Amino acid sequence: MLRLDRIDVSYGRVQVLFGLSLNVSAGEIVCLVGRNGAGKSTAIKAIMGLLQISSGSIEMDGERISHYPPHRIPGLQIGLVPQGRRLFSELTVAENLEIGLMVRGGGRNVRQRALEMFPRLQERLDQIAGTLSGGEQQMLATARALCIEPRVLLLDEPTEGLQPSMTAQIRNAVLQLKKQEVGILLVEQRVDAVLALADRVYLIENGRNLRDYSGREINDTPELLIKHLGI
Amino acid sequence: MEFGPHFLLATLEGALTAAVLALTAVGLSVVFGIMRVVNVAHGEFFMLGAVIAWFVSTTVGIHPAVGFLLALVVAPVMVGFLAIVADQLVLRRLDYDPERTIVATIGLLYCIQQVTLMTFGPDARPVIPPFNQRIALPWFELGEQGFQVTWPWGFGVTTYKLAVIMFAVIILVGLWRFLARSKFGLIMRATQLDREMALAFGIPIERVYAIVFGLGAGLAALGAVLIVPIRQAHYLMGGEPLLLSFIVVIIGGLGSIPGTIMAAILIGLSDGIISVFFSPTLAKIIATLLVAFVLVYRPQGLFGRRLP
Ligand SMILES: Nc1ncnc2c1ncn2[C@@H]1O[C@H](COP(=O)(O)OP(=O)(O)OP(=O)(O)O)[C@@H](O)[C@H]1O
Ligand SMILES: [Mg+2]
Repeated sequence: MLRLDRIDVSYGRVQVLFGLSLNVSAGEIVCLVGRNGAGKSTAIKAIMGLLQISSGSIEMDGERISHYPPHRIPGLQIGLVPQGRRLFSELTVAENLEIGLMVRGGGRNVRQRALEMFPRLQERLDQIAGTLSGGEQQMLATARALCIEPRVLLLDEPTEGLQPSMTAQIRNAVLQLKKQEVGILLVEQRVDAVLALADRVYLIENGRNLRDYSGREINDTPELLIKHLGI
Repeated sequence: MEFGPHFLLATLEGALTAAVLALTAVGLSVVFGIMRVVNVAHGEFFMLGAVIAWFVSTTVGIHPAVGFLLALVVAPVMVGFLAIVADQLVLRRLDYDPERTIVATIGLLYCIQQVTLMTFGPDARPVIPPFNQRIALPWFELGEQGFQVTWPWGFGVTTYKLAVIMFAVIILVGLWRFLARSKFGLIMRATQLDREMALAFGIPIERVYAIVFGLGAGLAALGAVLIVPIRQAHYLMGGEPLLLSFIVVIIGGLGSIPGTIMAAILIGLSDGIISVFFSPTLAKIIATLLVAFVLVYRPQGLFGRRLP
């Protein structure tokens, strides 16, 4: 469904991604792992059109989208849960969700479905997003992305700085979305989180594909990842 | 005139200044807040509003009031449209870079000013107010015979001035509700908070910027149309509103609309009162000094929130 084919991305003169390829199919959980600075977030931003690629291509359903203006990407039902949450911090919970709903004109039922995954948010609709706890903020960032009814969801380190119970909630949400045939691209640092979920794993280093693993391989021999991530 | 009535008159003058200043400065404030563009040409949009108001009200020769009411709609719309064109031709090409857009809007300032000089000419031109009855005001005094009502000579306001103040309040309240409640207001606030995330949620921020720039210019033009029957149209009249708007926006806290309105009231009232009792120059000196103090001791503005 979503396909990156040998993309190069640079910040000014500094090239960060070198011929990176990956793809995500419907109902599949694909993990992207790599050390700090490997270029994981850069790849995510390139998919969203927030960074221009200098060669290669990005396709959704076989259609080339890498030349689209960025504001058209979410309309293709590609949802983003960015690193560091990036909520509209002075808007309320409800308003943050509203921004997501506007993408496809989703109504109350779309919002309701997003909220059902995170009932805590339901009671806090009028609270200012910036005053939520870290875990609640992550829930909201995820619910906001669900409001665009994504077919592909990009999650950039959703469990960063969360305690285990919160991590479990996010993981449950991801599994539930997988059942709904949503394709998931999950950026993770924590090997334990990757292990249980992944159908496939892309290990990248210095902006290049280093190795691909199946979920089975990783589960059998987690050392493969642990060694590379230097944990 | 005694001190009491005199002071009340000065306050009314100040309220008039505050009303027009609030409209103009809020225009500058939304442009800065949402686009991060310091629009040095803002005063020229004000001036254009006044000049267009003169043109419309003198060429549409039905009745001065009709011409003026027409100008009240036509001038802000035309100026707003011109600003959108400038945004598309200049600011967008510069990718809204905060520094380069300052230089670009300085260029825009001179372009607008000189074209106006070449077409409209160097003369100041009056616009007739649509209505202008004088209302004498009573004054109450506790004299030897108890409570007394007097009618001090020269103590009164014109209906036009009162109407301007009320109209400005209505527009500002309307704008506030628009920003807080409407869908486009929500889009504007989201864009202001995080433009990259706005894009990632499908908001076409360049279109939002164009509309915001048009809105900001339109507000300046509206302020000008309201004041032009009192102050006359002139091609150099943009300097003072620009200076005062900057003062107000800095004191109010950059990009904060409630702060801007509060600061406009503070500066407008003190300008009116100090001008009447002392001199307009002293009023400007005090306002400028206040800005210097705010910049040094409270850079987030008197009414702005402290930056984290
Ligand atoms: N805006 C930027 N300008 C210049 N260089 C950048 C920018 N953003 C990221 N980089 C550089 O690009 C490289 C990849 O960064 P990226 O954020 O994609 O890494 P990451 O894999 O997401 O790391 P982390 O796990 O720490 O989030 C890094 O070397 C970083 O310094
Ligand atoms: Mg990252």
